[in-house]
Amino acid sequence: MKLLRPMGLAALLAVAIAPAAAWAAPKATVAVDVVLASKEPGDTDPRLVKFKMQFADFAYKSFKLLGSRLITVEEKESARVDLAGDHKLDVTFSKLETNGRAKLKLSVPGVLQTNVSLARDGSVVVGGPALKEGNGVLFVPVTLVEAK
Amino acid sequence: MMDVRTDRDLLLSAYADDELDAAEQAEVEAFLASDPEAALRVADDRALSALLRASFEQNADEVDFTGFADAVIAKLPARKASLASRLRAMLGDAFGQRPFQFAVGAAAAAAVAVVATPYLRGPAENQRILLAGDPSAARVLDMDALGDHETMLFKTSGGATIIFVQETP
Repeated sequence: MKLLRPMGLAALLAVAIAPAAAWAAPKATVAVDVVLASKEPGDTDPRLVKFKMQFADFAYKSFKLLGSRLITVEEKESARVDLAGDHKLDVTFSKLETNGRAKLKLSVPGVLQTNVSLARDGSVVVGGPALKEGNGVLFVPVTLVEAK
Repeated sequence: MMDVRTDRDLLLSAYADDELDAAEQAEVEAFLASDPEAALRVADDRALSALLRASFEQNADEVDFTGFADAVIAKLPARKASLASRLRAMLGDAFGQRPFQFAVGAAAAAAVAVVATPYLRGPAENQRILLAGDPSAARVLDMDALGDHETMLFKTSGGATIIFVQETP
């Protein structure tokens, strides 16, 4: 009997805690880098040298890293990231897929809306939104850091 | 027999597909510098290749290959090479032919690695923007241009997936 009481309490505690853990919404951690690309010759941020090599197919000659953000979004929720100029990026974590990939909706208001499926460390680059001033365009690599 | 023009077109096409060796590549680049029309044609060829590659890879992405490699490996008979064979495969001829030089070289390489590693490693965020470029890790399900924009899907030769958007002319 002495043993049954603590066991019963432990069972009650487990029942009380389990639903909260089981129903916690999945979260996706997403890295958003903002790169300004220009067709004018100029210096490229040393951190972007490999990035530049991967973009050799495009006519851009210099790249500047404007910023990096790490955001965490719950399933069905959205987060907004300021890019540059008037441009914003809305990231919606639509669904955690059974294979561990995350389905994300990416939206640059007035410019583009897309749905992508990313595996961990997978990246998709939203490129081309132009800035009103200057002649540069933005390249925005969106990388899934983790989804669970 | 092919005429000169056809030969040149084939060479330019091979250049656009990165199939030339360094000497041929330098020769073509010198030619392109003097012929803007040909340079534009090569740029078009490259863009077309990128679009075709994106299209094919998109189709491939739609097939679920999960567990495919494991299934193939599971069907192979289990066989383990001896330790000596594995070492030979790993170290190649270097160890067998010049053991002393190999040992000195390995020690020097280890010393350089220990000294240089803290300088070579950047912060974690730097690693992200290198874009490792595994095309299977990113799948574009759909994309819609808004307002006066149009979208294109690219896979660069470096393996990056790009949704490119621009204002309609």
